[in-house]
Amino acid sequence: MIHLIIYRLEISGSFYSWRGAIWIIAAASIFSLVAYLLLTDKELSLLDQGEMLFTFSEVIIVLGLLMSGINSSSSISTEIEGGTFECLLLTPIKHIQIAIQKMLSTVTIWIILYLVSIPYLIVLANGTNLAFPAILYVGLYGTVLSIAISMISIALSWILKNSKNSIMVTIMIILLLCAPSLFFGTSLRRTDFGIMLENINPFSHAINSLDSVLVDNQQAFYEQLPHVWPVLVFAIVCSVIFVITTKKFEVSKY
Amino acid sequence: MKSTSIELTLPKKSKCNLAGKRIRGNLICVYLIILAIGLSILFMHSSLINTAFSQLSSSGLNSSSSKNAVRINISNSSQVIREMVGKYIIINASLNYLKSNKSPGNSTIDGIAYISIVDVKDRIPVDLEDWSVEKGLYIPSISPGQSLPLEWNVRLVKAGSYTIAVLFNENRNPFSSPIVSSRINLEVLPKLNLNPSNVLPVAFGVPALLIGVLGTLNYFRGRKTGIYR
Repeated sequence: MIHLIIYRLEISGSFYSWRGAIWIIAAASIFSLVAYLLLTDKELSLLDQGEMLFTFSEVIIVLGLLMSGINSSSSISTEIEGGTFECLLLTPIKHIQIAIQKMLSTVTIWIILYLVSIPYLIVLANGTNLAFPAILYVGLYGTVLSIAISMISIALSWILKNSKNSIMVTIMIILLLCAPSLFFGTSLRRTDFGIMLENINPFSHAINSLDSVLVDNQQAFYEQLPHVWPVLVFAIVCSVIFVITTKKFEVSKY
Repeated sequence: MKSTSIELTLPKKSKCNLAGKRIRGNLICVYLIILAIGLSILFMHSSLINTAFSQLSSSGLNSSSSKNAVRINISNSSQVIREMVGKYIIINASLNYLKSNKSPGNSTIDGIAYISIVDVKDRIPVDLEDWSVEKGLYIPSISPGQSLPLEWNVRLVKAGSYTIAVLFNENRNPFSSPIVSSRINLEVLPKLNLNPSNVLPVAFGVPALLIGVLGTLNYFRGRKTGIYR
């Protein structure tokens, strides 16, 4: 159990008081607002249920990535800025384990966010066969992308050693990943440049896969494999960077 | 004295002549004006006749469609459709190319059939962007005696009163007027979206439940540590 001390400390920090746990209520309020608008707004309620679920899934994943990125990008740099990183390194835990526990605490935040979103997904999919695929694929892509973003953010947090900088760079990375799917128009996405960006972007693959599952009703896993493996490759690349960087945790470096 | 009288009368005669000449000149001017007015009326009349003839001839051109005997009809069973906002309706139509003795042989025609929805209350045609995926259907060929069924899926976006018509533009004669079906009425009823799919219990319940759980946890932790007694 000693190996999970850092994880427990991190998690208790996220739930210790009202201030620590306000993010859950804020996230639930955002989900409530989006779900209510999608179902009751005069024009939005005319969307197909598949499109509603797809829009809501995008909101869940983007919110999850932002929370994971911001939480993990300040995890190491805050310790360095507070002068507690030295004590952390002196504990009888391997450096990689410290980093992994920090990463696990971030993934736990994502999992709680995901669990909170499940009732909304069920309500939005009411009367269709889309509830289970929506829960499954949002869970799959959200978890893999959350792990990948957490790992790269922890690596950045160590490299930059400054919370402000690491948070800013992480948000920029997340926005860059989201840009082709959320900010590019349809015409721009259909150009060679847009297609190339979507092919190399794991977030675009996740969104396109959700679109295919929820809007086009292609729910078989083999149909989604062309979208699943780029996301897994991205997670593997991030984990390699994570392992290489966390091995360099040293007291003398800061 | 005679000579003087002659001398005196002479200018009188010349004055009369001058006055007569002036009157005659004025009369000529009046005649010319009347002539000009008359001619202009005549030209105008003839131009009106020409226009009328040209219109007649153009209507003759337009009537080529009637020569072709192409008919389009909306084949929905009822003349008035009543449905709620958000629902889909199907508009069925049939395009008929009737056999005619005047039609040369088995000549086929092609064209585009399209749907037109007009908002009766706002008195504007509806932009079909959100209403129908396929606004127009291209008919590559239809031969005499053939009948083609046409179908449009229409999503009812906004409540109101509308009229629906189906039109057909024949490609062979680019200047012919479109062939129009008779109209049907569409009454789109508003939908009350207060609590569809039971969203309200979830939308208010989940944040309330989280606040309750976290508040309870916080209270028990506070009691344990001595903040709350």
